[in-house]
Amino acid sequence: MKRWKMLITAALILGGWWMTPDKPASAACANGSYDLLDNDNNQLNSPDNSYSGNWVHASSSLSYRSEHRYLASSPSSGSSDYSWIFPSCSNLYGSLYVYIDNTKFTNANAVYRMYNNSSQVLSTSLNQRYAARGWNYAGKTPGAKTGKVVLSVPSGQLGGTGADAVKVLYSSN
Amino acid sequence: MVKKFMAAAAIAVAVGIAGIYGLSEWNHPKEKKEVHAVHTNFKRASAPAASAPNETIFPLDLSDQDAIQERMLNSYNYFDSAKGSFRYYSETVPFDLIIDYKLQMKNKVSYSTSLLNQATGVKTEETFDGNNLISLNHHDKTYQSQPYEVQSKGQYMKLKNAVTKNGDGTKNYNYPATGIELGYAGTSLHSKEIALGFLEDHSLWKASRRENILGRTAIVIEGTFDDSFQRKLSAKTFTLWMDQNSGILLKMELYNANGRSIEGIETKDIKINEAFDVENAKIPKDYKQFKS
Repeated sequence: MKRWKMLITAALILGGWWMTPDKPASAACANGSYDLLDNDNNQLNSPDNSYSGNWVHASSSLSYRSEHRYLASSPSSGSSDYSWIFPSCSNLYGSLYVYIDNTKFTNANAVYRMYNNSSQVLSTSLNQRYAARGWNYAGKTPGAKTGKVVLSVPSGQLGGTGADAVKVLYSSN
Repeated sequence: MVKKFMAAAAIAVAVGIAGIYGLSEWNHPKEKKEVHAVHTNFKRASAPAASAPNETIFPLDLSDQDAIQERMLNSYNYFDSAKGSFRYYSETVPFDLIIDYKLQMKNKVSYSTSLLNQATGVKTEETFDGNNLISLNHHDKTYQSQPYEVQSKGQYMKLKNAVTKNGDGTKNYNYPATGIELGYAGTSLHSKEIALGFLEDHSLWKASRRENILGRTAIVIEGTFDDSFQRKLSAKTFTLWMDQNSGILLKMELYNANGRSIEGIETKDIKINEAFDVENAKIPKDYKQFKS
């Protein structure tokens, strides 16, 4: 009896884990699926992310999984970047969605780039300042290649920039 | 035996629920099937005075909030070319910018934009000649040049497909898929975030009248921000002047609780559907290539 209770509990936990929308980046480039990475995915300074510049980790009930990264101002030269390291996939197009739900995210021209290995396959921008609360579509790769997403803030950029969860939806056309 | 059967059933139900939920989360890339062909649903009429002579007129009813929102969301589908300039300012960030733009979309897409920060004097430029995207930063004396692809102005996005809900209660905001990236100039020429952000709740705004701005007919939209935007922008209300025929945002004012304008856009000059060339960016010899 005790063994069956444990089995049922395990099944419910397993079901609950599957039911969470925060699936890790494990869809492995399948048509019709998506990969999702948070900032500091699953842990602070996660290997799924990287950054350059003064991206401060902050808690907020509004943010995805209640935390985000925030760059208060642009660098004096060069750029400050935050990256979500998705797998490089070929033969599939990628639609990029970024999660915006924090009142500090006020950059009116946040530039997102996607790289397949080292080749840039998408350059797109989103007005974080006026974006609605939720997943905002940022762009789709013109070719069938996807990979790492980089939010790049060059010198002279205005407003605070937020890095929260990002997802890439894969499609065959 | 009964206990074993019940346990197996519980596992099956848990897995089934998880599977259904997972599938509901994976069905987003359908927007391409659901969008409609460009210009197929528009009624055409003879041109009134407030438009360019060669412009097709697309009527718009002030009481039709869906149509107003949809036009702003799909502005690129209502014109083939535009050139002009506008001021974009904010007291809260703060910034005060002058933005010039040229956008051609008739046969193939090409564009150029320049941004002057009036506070610092720093100027940046971006040009897309149909093959390469070139960015110049005159402050750092750097440039970026990379192959870029824009196939078209993008497909028309029906409003009913623009906002969708996920299983966890979050929303997807789907903008028209276009590779045209105008940076700050997009705030006027394709104010898609404003269309779905400021105008999402129809009970918070209305199109009150028409006004003439720079010889064009603008629809005046007056609204109140929801709590989130009030906190984010330190603004209580807004007024938008949307070009009726193109969906371009000609003017915008955001007001604080005292009714003072603290952020906005002011178009200085605009020409729509006129012939012009988009010059390629000239990279000065002393500029270094910038790699992020």
